[in-house]
Formats: sequence, structure tokens, C-alpha cells
Amino acid sequence: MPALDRAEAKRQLDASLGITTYVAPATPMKVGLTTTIGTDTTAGTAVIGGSYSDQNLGPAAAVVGSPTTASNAATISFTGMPDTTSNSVKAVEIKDNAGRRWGYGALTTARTTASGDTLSFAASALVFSQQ
Amino acid sequence: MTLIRTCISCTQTDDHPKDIVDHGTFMVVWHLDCHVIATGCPSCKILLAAADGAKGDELRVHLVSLPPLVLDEHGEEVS
Repeated sequence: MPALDRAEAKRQLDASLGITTYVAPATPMKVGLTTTIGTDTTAGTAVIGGSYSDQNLGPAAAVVGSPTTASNAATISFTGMPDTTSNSVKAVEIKDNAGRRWGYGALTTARTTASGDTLSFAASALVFSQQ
Repeated sequence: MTLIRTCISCTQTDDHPKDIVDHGTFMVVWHLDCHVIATGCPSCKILLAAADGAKGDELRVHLVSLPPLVLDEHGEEVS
């Protein structure tokens, strides 16, 4: 699902070609919810309100395949969601613990929450792939 | 607007706070207490621990007044 942020793509490409040393992200990696879908260079609009906060991604190691994929190892729960009936949750943003953007991705289906709901993603619901 | 959803466990349809679980291609909706009973959901358990039996609107007010909750991969609260 997610696409890499353009700056992260450069970091990975340069490192894998031996041009520079990859600066590892500050862990834990974080996942945030957005009401707009980001682009390769710009983050989506973050959900605000309630007692919402970004959560730990908890990724499992990648599985080689076509494409090679990685996903969240366990359920991720966003508690205390605000009312999103007029502006549904459409995408996620992935970043490191210092706020360095890794990538973004649209949800298969936008989700709507009432105030006080929890929005959870079951293990393996968020899938990241690379050829 | 209040969202009316049906809990997959007790099959009751109401506007009480729910745990909406996205499985990628489909979603499942639970009352928080039903989710604890059926699966032991750790986040619902934490949310209800200090709710003192509140339901519906009373529970909603409690939930949105809580400080932001960050959970680890085991569903335990990160301090």
C-alpha cells in the first residue's frame, strides 16, 4: 500500500548503491492517520481531536516475494478517535520517532469513526511492498 | 450526526463507542466490552478499566477525555 517519501527513496537508493551510508530511522516507527492522501513529497492532513495520537507501527520483517512485502506484526489501535463523519480517515503516514517521513498510503476503504471510537488495524492489515 | 453501527458480537445496533477493526479488505465493529469478552482486546480493556461501568454517551465523554494512549506491539500502554 504505502509509497515511499521521495527523500526516503533517495536515502535508500544512495545507500544501496554504496554512495552514502544509510542513516537509520529513530525507532519505534510511528503510524498516523490522515483525512487526505499524502503525496511523494507532502504529508496528508493529520487527524486531530479526541484523544487521538500516533501509534507505534510494530512492523514484522519483510517477506521476500513478488512484490516483497512487510506489514504490521500486531493490531494497532487508535483510541479516543474524534468524530470523522464529515472527514473520513483515508490514509496513513509512516514516520520515525523523530518525525522523519518514511512514506504514506491510502486505505483500501476510507473509515469513519464516531467520537470516542477506537480505530484498529488488525495484524497484516497495513502492507508495504517493494518490487 | 451519530453513527449507528451493529456489534458483531452481541448484534445490538446503537450509537455507543465501538472498536472498528480494519482487516484490510473488510472491517468488524465491536462494542468495547464485547471485544474484551470475546477476544481479550487489550486496548478495549485499558479503556474500560477506569470507565466505572459507563455506557453510551457517558462512556464516550470518558473516552475522549482520556490522555492520548500509545500502545506497544503487545497492546500494553507505553509509558
